[in-house]
Amino acid sequence: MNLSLLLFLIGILGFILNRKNIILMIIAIEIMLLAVTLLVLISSFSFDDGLGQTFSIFIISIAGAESVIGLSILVAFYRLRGNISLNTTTTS
Amino acid sequence: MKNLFIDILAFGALLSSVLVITSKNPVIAVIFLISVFINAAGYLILLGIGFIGISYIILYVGAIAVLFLFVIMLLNIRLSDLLEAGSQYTKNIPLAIAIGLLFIYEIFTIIPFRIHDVSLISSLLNLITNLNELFLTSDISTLNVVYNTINPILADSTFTNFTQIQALGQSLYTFGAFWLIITSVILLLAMVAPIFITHKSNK
Amino acid sequence: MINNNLILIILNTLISLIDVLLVLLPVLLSVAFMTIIERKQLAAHQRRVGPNTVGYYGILQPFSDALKLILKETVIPSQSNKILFYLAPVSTLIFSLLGWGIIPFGQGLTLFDFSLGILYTLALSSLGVYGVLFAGWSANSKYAFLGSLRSTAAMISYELILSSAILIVILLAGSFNFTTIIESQEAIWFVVPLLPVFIFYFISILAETSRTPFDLQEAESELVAGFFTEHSSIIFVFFFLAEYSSIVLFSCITAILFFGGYNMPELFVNNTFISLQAVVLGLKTCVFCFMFVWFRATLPRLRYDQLIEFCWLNLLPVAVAFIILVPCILVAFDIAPY
Repeated sequence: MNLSLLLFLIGILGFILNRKNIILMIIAIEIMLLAVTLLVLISSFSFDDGLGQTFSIFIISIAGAESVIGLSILVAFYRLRGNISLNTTTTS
Repeated sequence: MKNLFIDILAFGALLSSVLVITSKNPVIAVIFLISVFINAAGYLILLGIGFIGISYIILYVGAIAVLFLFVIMLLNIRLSDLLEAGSQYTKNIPLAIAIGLLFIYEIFTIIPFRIHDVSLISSLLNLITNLNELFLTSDISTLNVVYNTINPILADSTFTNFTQIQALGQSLYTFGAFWLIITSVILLLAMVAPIFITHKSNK
Repeated sequence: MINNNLILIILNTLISLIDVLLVLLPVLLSVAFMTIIERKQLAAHQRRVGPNTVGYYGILQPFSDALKLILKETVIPSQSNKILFYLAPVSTLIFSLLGWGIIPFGQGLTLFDFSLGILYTLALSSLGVYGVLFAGWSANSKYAFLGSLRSTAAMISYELILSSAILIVILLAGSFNFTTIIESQEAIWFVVPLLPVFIFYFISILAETSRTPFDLQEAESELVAGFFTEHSSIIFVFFFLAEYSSIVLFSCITAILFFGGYNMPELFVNNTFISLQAVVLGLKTCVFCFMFVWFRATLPRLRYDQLIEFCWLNLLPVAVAFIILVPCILVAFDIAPY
C-alpha cells in the first residue's frame, strides 16, 4: 500500500515539475494510473476478493486508450508547431 | 525470503520511477518507465496475482512502452528544446512542494502509520535474528528441518492460478458486463481517434 | 550438526542450478548446430556442397565461426550510447533463452510447470522486441535505426496474429499450461481441427523470428544489415545466438501447441526400456526447423509495405473471424472443455 501511495506521489510530482515537456507529462499520468491499479489490486487481494482484478483490467485498458490518444495529440501538435515544448510565451 | 524479494522489487519500482521524472532524455525516461512496469509486475507475481502481473508485462511493456518509444524516436525532437524546458524546472518547485506536502498530510491523516509496518525494516530485523540463530545456536535451527520438502509451492500453483482466471472471467462477464461494453467502446474510440487525428489530408 | 538448515538451502539451490544447466547446455549446443544445419540444407537446396572442411562433414563449423567472431576486435561507434549498446544484445539472448524454462520435454520433465505458461511465452516474446529497438537506437546510425524500426514494427504487428492463433488453441485446450495442452491432444493433434489457424500461426512465427519472407531488417540491398549493422565481434554473436535460439524455441512451441508435443501414436509407445517422449518432441522440432530453412530457400522477400499490409488487411481479419468462429462451434456442439 505504501508502494502505490508513494508511486502516486512521484507521478504527481513528475506531472508538476515537467510541465513544459508533454512526453514526460503523459509518462507521469501513466505512472499515476499504475499506482492506482496497484492500490486497487493490493487492497482487494488483502481482503481476499477478486473484484479488484476485474477493475484493474478495466483500468489497464483505459490507460492504454489514454496513452494512445495523448500520443496522437502529441503527433498532431508536432505537425502544427514543429516542436513539442509547451511554451506559451514565445510565439513560433 | 519472498518478503525480502517483494521489498526489493518495490524499492526498484520507486527508484526507477524517480529516475523517470528526473531524466532529461525522453528515451531514457521510457527505459526507466519499462523498469517501473517490470518491477511492479514482478511485485504482483510474487504477491500471488500472477495473471494480472503477466498481463502488465504484455500490455504495458509490450504495447504501450513500444508506442511511446516509436513516437519519441520518429518525431525527431531536438534535445536542446527539451533541455531548455528543463532549465525552467526550478520555477515549479514551490508548487510541487506544496502539493506533495498536502498529499502526504492527507494520506497520513487518513492512514495510520507505524515504523514496524514497513516490512523491509521488520524483515531486516527478522533476518538478523535468523542469521544469529543459524550461526550461534544449533538448537533452534533443528526445529526448522521439517519444512524442507521439495518445493511445495509448485504443486499448488497449478490449481490456484487457474481458478483465479476462472473467477476473473466469471466476474468480468456477469456483473462487470456493462463496464466491459463501455470499455470496448472506449477502446474502439482509441482505435479510431488516432487515425482521424494524425490523418494527413491531401488537398 | 551445526547448520542443517543452511546446508539444505545450499543443496537445493545447487540442484536447481544443475537443473537449469541440464536444459541450457543442450539448448545452446542445438542452437550452434542449427546454424550448420541451415547452411548445409541451403547448400543442398541450391546443389552446392556447403561447409565441409572443419571437422567430419563440416560439423564443427559453428564452433570455428564463433571462435573467429570472438577473437575479432570490438568496434563501438564513438557517438553511441555505450550501456544500451551492450545491454541490447544481452537482453535479446536472455529473453530468447528464458522461454526454455517452461517447455515440457516429457511427462513431468520440465524446469517449471507454470500454470500461465503461454502468457509467460507471449510476455517474453513481447520483451524480445526491446533488444532490437535499443540496438538500433543506441548505435546512432541511420541504417541500424531504420532497420530496427522496421523489424520492430513488423514484430509487434505479427505478434497480434500470433497471440490470436494461440488464443484459439487455448480455447480448445481450456488451459494456459503447456502440459495440459499436450495432454489434451492425446486423442487428436490440434493441427487437424485447426489447420487454417496453424497456417497463419506459422506465417506469424516466421515474421516473429524475422525469417526469410519477412526478414526486412536484413534487406541487404536497402539497409546494410539491419539493426546490428554496428555490432561486431562478441556482441554480434549474441544476436546471432538469439536469432537461432528463438527459431528452435518457436519450432518447439509449434510442436507442442499443434502437433501433440511429446505424444506419439499408440503404435510406438514403449515403456519397457527408455522413455521416447523427449526424442519424439525433438524429432517434431527438427521438422519445423527444416521448414524454416526450406521457406528461406524457396520464397523471395516481401516489400515492406506489402509485409505490413498483409498483416493488417489480410491476416488480421482472418484471425478475428476464427476467434469468433471457433467458440461458436464449441458452444453449438457443446464440446467446450470446461
